[in-house]
Amino acid sequence: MAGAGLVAVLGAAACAGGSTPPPHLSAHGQQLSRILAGLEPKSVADQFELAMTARQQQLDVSCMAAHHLRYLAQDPDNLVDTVTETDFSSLDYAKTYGFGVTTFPHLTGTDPNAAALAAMKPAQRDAFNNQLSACDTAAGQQTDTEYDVTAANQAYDRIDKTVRADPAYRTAQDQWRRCAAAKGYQQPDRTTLIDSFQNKMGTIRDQLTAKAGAAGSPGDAEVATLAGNDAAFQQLHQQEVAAAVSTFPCSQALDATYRRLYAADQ
Amino acid sequence: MRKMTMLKAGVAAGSVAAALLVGSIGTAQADTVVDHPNTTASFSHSYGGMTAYIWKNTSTQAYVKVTKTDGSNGVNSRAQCERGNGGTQWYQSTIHAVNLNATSHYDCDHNGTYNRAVVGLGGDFYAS
Repeated sequence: MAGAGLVAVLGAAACAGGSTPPPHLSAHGQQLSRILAGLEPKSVADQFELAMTARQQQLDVSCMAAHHLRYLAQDPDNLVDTVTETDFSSLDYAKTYGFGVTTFPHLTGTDPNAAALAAMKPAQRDAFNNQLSACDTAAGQQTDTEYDVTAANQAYDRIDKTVRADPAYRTAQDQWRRCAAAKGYQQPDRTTLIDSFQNKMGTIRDQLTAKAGAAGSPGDAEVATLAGNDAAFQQLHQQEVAAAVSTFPCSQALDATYRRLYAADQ
Repeated sequence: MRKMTMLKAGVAAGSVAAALLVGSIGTAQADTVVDHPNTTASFSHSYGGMTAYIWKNTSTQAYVKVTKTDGSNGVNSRAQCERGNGGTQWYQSTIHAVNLNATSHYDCDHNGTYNRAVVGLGGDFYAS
């Protein structure tokens, strides 16, 4: 797949970032650390995620072949949603998805292995899936190693903790609270504000699912149809978008402080 | 592990909410996607002659198990994983579980780059 090309592009992008990678992180790890901290645009984060997934699929194919089983690589867009994932840096995202609460995943495509699975007898299917599971676990571990995922997350955890304890960040948090309060939101931070919508969405989702189930099919399509005509859902979606858009300037200011402190500690 | 499909019919649907919700739904194979965002309450879903039970196995792992099979329809696990900053992203397992007691799962802390917690559960049901 285009994984190798993406890796090359991402490597170049990492070098263009300006920061010198710490000795314990590879270029990929350094870039992932920056992605986790919001220092890279969504496009770079998406490419990284899709490249990792493509690499894992390649390893799955090789592993299965080594066991004399034919596995066709999945399109990464089947496996990772890079459409509705939360993007705190985009006002357009806020206007469309709010914080990403009143939305459903967007995964496209079909499984190229479906027909082969259908032709298998139960015992063969079990053997195939057991082997694929083992291969995928190993492939995931190798991919994590190649992309320095564990180390990058450890670096993120360490720096994130330092940043959040920094007086400058705490001052920025206070400013976020005052900014959000001025917009009508009394939550102490963005995460708590998001939680409030997640809790409400859970309740509404349960109600919509029950209605769809009573009609015979509680799938997303049916729930979505019901949601389109559900006053409670519509109200919650509008409230979420309003909150995300209203507090966007507040969050931009706080996130800018976060990024500055994070970059300085890399 | 992983998999698949959904049609884009919903994207063209009229209301913003409907379009948002249906972002991933539909497919030429008439599969059914069942997602429960922002909740990890377990649930069962039947598709054709099969039934699957979906639950949060650990703080970072979404699981689905076939509890009744018809030998042809199956399900892939789906998980909404939470990042350190509160944002979320959905993933799908590569494993398509069909047989009785077969499972499919997704580890938020192993397969993705945002390894924090599973906060939503789902399944993609379709005929093999």
